[in-house]
Amino acid sequence: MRTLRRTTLAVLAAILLPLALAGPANADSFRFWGFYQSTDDAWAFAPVGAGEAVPAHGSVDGWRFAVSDEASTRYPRAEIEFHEVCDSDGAEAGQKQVAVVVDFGTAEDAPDGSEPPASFADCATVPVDATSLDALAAVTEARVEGGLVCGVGGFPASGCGDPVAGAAPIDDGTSIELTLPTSDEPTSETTTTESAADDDSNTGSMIALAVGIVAIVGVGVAALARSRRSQAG
Amino acid sequence: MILTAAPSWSAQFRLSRPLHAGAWWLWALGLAAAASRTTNPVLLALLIAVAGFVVAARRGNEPWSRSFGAFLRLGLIVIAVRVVFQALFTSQVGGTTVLFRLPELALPGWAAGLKVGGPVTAEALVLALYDGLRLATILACVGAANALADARRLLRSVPGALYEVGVALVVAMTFAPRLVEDAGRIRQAHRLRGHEVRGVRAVGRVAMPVLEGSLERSLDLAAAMDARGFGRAAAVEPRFRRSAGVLVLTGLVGVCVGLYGVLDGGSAAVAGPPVLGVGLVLAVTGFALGGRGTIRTRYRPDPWSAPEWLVAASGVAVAVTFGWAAAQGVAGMNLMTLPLAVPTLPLVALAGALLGLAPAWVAPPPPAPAGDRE
Repeated sequence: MRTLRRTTLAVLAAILLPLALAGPANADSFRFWGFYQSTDDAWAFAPVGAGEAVPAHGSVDGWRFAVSDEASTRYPRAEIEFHEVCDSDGAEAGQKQVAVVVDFGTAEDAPDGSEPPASFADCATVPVDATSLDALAAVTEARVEGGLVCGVGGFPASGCGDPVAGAAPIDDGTSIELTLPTSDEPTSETTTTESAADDDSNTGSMIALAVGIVAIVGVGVAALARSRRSQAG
Repeated sequence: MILTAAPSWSAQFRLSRPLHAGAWWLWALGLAAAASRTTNPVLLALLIAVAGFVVAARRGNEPWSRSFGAFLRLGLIVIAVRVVFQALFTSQVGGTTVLFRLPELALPGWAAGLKVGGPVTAEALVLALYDGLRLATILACVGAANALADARRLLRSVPGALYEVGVALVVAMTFAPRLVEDAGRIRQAHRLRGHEVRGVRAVGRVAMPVLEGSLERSLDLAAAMDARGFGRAAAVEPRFRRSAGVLVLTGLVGVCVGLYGVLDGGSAAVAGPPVLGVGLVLAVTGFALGGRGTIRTRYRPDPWSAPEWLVAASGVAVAVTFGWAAAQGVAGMNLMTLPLAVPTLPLVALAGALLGLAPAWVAPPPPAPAGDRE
């Protein structure tokens, strides 16, 4: 029995120790979207979250996807002026314009070594009391889970604030080129080609949605019929 | 000499018998794990419909077989509560389509992040609906397992190491309806004597005799079981039993953590199947060691044959399909996005959900009620 007890403890130790060591002891950094606001041409942490911050007309919001830990703060890698992105004549009454910079980060920040999309800046025209989260949603798609912004523009496709083993990489201070919104005539051409492609994918997704709804209705009706039959019989 | 042909392999799917309760629970937990990986309302409604179809096709005639409807109603309540809470305490979801405004209550600075009242946006309500629907789907899967599997047969499959716990649970489940009957009888006796006491005082008057009665009954049952030889343990060294106990406890904790990791879509990948696997190995080892100390015979244990394997495999297949689609980031799995768009349906997940229908044909039909058997 003593050998049995010893082997039991050895098995336990062999299985549990590697799990305990490989656990959160190494996960010092996290991979997440950070929200910043530009004051006096410098990026700074926003005092409140994006869902509560109400930016003024003419302000610049920044979003940076990076692997950060407690010691590092990684800002968007470019600074722009409001007038480079938005033409302030475009705002109507009851609306405001906010410049939004989205920096998808370096290849090291991207999960699974995928290629991050091109970083861009765009102008959000939103109601006067809209929050920074609404401004982000006005220029691109935002995936929100539990009050946290987990994905912007479909990147990353899944996950939220995942822990990363090791210390966070440091930015070397170089700026990047941001894709700015182009002027009117070329965008109308691109939107017509884009809308043609969108229509194709729209019909595809409509068909898939219709198939799903038919499946639900079919299975549900069959279930009801089966239960009526078993009740009667 | 009477010669009978050997039953064909397909006969085991047609011969009516109750399926092993563990197989039903594995199938239902697979559906629940799949539901926790998506917020697409079409996929979640399809999972509920699949569970409902299998319940309608394969439920027996016991009193708990009709409980699926109660779990569906509970799910509707969960959705309503979630949406109302989102409307009242609008969290940081944002959204630009304001439906209506509730009177806002200004909270002090330390309660930042919590808003009472304020504008209610359509985006926030729809996201709350998706979240509530996911919870309701998990409830419906648990309800399906409850309606299909007999809890007492599940207790029969309890391993020998947990034998005493299993006996206590069976006794509790058998006596619970008697408690309700006792309470009704005592209240009627009070009323016959002219004491109509309502409210909190009535609880004390009814509870004491009920507790006394149940304690007497359990003592009688314990004496009867002891007289028949229950509770005798084999001669096993205490060190042996302690190691088995440690293994069982660690194994059960590992199984709990692993189940949580599998069912919760947001936890780290390491907390899911690996921990579940390790926990299962430890628990099974502990059960095998500890079971040697309990002497008991098993009367007609439920078989675990091809139908059970197929039913459990279909549940695991649904969970794996949804988990793979969610990990790959297939469009349409996670819909918590702003601005709102019409949900797309990933066909992979659709096919995976339809795999969950397999038990309706693979599981043997439940035995007919006693009055019909000729």
